[in-house]
Amino acid sequence: MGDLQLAYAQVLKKWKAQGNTLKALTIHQLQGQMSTYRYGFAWVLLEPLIFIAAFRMMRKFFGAMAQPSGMTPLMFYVLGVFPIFMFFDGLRTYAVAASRSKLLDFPTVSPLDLMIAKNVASFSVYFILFWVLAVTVSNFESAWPPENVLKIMFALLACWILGQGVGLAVSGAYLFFPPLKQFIGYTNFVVRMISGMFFCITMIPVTVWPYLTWNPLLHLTEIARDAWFESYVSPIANPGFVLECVLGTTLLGLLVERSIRRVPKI
Amino acid sequence: MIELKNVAVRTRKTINPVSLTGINVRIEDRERFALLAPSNGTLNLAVAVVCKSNAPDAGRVIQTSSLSWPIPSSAFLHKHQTFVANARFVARLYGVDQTSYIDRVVDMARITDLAEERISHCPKKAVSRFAFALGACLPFDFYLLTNTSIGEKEERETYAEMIAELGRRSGLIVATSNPKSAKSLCDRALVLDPAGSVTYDDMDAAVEHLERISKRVDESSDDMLAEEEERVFEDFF
Repeated sequence: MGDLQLAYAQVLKKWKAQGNTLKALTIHQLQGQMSTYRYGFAWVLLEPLIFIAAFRMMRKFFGAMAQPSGMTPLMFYVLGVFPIFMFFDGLRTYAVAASRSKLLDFPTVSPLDLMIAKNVASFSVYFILFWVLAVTVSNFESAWPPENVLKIMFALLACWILGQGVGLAVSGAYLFFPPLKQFIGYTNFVVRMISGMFFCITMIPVTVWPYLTWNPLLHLTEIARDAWFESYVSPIANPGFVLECVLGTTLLGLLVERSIRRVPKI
Repeated sequence: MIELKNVAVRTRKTINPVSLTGINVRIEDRERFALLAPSNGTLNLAVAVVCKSNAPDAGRVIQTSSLSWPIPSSAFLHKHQTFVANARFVARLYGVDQTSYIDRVVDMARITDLAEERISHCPKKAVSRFAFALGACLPFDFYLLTNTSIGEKEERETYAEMIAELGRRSGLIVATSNPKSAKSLCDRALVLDPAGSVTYDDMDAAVEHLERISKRVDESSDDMLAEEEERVFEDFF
């Protein structure tokens, strides 16, 4: 066997080992989700459903803020809740990056492996749940099929990666100042309010648009609704801006992760 | 080979912080090596650095051989799952055939009747045997052992023989504050001393050094306790 072939075989072996590690950790994460709660995994599935149901019921109180014509009420909330849920799930990476997991005792496991595994596990759950719910609800409301499936996939994936990038970037600050966790909780509430979870941009006065459109999450919920409903064309959705934000936050996050490797974890 | 080059670490979140600096040691393949330290958090810290779960404050850890996780650690197990499900996780992680690995682990841990039982419902001794078997059934260049007393009292001899067999087949790194087990299993040792860590080829000398540090640690904790009591007494009255 030549040197090149030997080197190729070694690289292949390392990639296979890395694949095994990520697969095992992802399944381990899935099996451990909400394990401390009485009904365990059921809570993972119930959480977004409760949100959607609550918003749907609250619509009575937001009578003036009903969805624009052409959008069905339940699908409107499904497309608002899931992208933001995926973002927040990615955001929780900050705690994984800053804490010392017992799984790190395995010399083959690195903190980055744990982060990837945690995020893949939760993404797969919410991704499947989204499609199960979206197909059911849209058929029930006669809003099936979506106008552009690829755009919806883009919105979901971008939310997830954006969340991870922001999570990694925040992890450095969290490591040095753990009470930051409380502030992240308050910020989450604000982000939920301004990211189109229960409104779309055409329901907001035009004078406010220049401020709101700095938020890439709002662009993503707009892209998701634009892609599902044929009758709705978002006046602000900008995939280019979203891509820039995703790339920027991911690079910043990886930089922070690299620089805190030597800092003792919480 | 595993090498620690100018490694410096210090314990955190402990009442008596311990700093170790200038640790230099090279452990060759198939060597039976002991990491000796008093039980004041230093040992856990050294183990974390060796298996790279914690980065040292300074220096480098170079590893060219495969190393196990600290055996018999059970911290990573999902307690709400069965022994088989947990063994399957380790098999997936190391990419080994699940069926044969699980059979070997169940056999070695003697948990055939408990294999499908939730870990949280099982006796601690069975969990300890299982945690040992998980590591012992995988091929490593080095086995990192943090406890050599596995299972019930009557089973200890059998498991001690299994550990000795691992030592004949591969390298052993025994991290302990118990000089007896280190002396019976290892040929060389590193004594982790805040005043300066020393590598010994003579296990008797290493054990003597460990006893000296342990005495010093006990005395200093007694002194600190007495000081603390005095302070509380003065504050109170």
